[in-house]
Amino acid sequence: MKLLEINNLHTYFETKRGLIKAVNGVTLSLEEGRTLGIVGESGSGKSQTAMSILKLFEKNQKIYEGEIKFMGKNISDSTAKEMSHIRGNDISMIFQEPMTSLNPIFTVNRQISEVLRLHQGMSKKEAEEQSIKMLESVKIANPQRVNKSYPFELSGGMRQRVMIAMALACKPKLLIADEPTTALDVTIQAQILRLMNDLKAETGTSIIFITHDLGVINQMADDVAVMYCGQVVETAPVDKIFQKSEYIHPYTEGLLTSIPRLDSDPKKRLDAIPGAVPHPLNLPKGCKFAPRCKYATDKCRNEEPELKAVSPDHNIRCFFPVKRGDK
Amino acid sequence: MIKYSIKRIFSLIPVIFAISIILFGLNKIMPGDPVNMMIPTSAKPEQKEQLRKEITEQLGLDKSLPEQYIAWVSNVAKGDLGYSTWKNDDVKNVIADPLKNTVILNFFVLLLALSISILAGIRSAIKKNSIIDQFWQVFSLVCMSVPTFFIGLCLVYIFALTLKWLPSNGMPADLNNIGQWVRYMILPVLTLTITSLAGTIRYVRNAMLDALSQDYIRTARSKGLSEKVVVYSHAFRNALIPIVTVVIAQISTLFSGSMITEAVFVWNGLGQVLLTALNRRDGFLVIAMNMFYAIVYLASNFIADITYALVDPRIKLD
Repeated sequence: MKLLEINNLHTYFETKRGLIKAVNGVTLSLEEGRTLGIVGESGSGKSQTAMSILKLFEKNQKIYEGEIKFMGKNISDSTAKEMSHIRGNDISMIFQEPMTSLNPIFTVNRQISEVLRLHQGMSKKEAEEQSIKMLESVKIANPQRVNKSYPFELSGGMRQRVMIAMALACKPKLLIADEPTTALDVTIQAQILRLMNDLKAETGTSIIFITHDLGVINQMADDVAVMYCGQVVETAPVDKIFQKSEYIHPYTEGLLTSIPRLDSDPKKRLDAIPGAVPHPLNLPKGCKFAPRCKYATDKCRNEEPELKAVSPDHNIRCFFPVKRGDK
Repeated sequence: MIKYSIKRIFSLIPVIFAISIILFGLNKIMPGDPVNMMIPTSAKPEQKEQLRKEITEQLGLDKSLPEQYIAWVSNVAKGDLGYSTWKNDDVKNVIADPLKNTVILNFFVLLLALSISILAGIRSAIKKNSIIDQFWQVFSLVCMSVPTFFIGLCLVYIFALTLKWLPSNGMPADLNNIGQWVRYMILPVLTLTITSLAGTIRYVRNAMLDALSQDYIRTARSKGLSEKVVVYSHAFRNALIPIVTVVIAQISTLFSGSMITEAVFVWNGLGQVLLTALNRRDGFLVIAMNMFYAIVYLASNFIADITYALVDPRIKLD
């Protein structure tokens, strides 16, 4: 069953200089019990897509068009009250900055208990016991002590574990992880990723995993959505992206070839996609990637391609998808 | 924390002694002679010499400075703050009433200014750039730029002279009549409140804006907490840390009084006493009052340190 379906979502920021189309027609879906990885450069709209699901908006930001179906129900026009019932309860989120995402002046216990008391109606004591259990489940060595600690007394990895414990406290159906390991060093990152995979296997929670790191996607995701300029340019199961498909989007190809490898020739220059993500107020006509694409034609520069299936579970937004192996 | 508090209190003792020596010394350097002020102008020249000698001896001013200082300190330790040459009375008696008046007046000012600035500051921060926010921004800018006495005079013009609702100045004739107290206090309280509001509203607003833009606020929202809990519990508790500084700084003004406002409204407070005492070269009175201010200042710094530790768990006192 589809847990989440996003159809043609448009989320814009209203600014003095014009509309910033952060999410510009995103279509995505997530099956229950699976992990969807969303990849893309900074500014590609991946975080804003996640924020749109929970409607965690700035004052000048709103959904202009499209729908978000969660368990069959459209939640894109929910009221604040309906949203606060979904947030932290059915859908939770963890963020990139474990150092600043926890409130510095409340204890871990207070911050985890808060969700339990709000959504599950637990008493203070029940919530405290459950909070310690949650800390145990994220493999924190001394849950009693950590439960009484303040965030500043914990390391970055520990804080991210606390964030995960807090997010999973109400057994949500969906966990959105917005670059949860970007701010951590590699060894801690590996631990956190393993922990998330273990917890997913235990609880069956679906995950949307946002990252710019394709290596992490390879470890975590079942399905992948590649985003560029507020649009999804390619969706496929993870193995198709990394090796098994016949075709691939030129942008995905660029991302894959720009991963530095330990075994590559140190004298050779790293591949990189030329240019930068266009400014959201000044998007190119036609295909958004055309100005940076080495295969672009006049058609690409003037007409915008649609997301089209190249095989049953593989969609590409490109007129001329690159055929693998004939570079 | 208790251990720290005790240590801090003991460390204040030498500071207080140092201040007392400096104040005593400054007072002696000050030009002018209190004895001159006490000799009636009607006295004949030869009588004047005689009187001067008598008064000087009586006040102990003929002794050396260290001797005078030691005599003064030991008197203070016994609870005797010295003799006021201006009122011909013990300093204690001279200060008692004005101190009471000043504290009463400023207590209400502090209460009003704090509650208004916290409420208005939070609202301005939530509704940034709205009409309410802009109103308070302009209000605080105007009130910060206009001198206190002018605000006082404007209020007198409106409420006392034009509308004739309130007395323009003075103290209640019947000191036990609460209604009268209120009538006489409204205008000076309003004047001082407006002046102190101006700065604190901006301070609270900025502290709240800062707190509201932090990542943990986004986390709090993602947990499904209501906007009220997010603002008043998660954001305000964090904004409180910088706000405490301003609040504590205002405690010392609670006692020091405001010379200008007291002068405009002829309010018998400490500000007025200090001004007159200085003009009359009333040494003991000046020292006693300055000592008092110094101690209030030290105490409020001490309270600030303790309060910081209470509102911010990251601050550890030891």
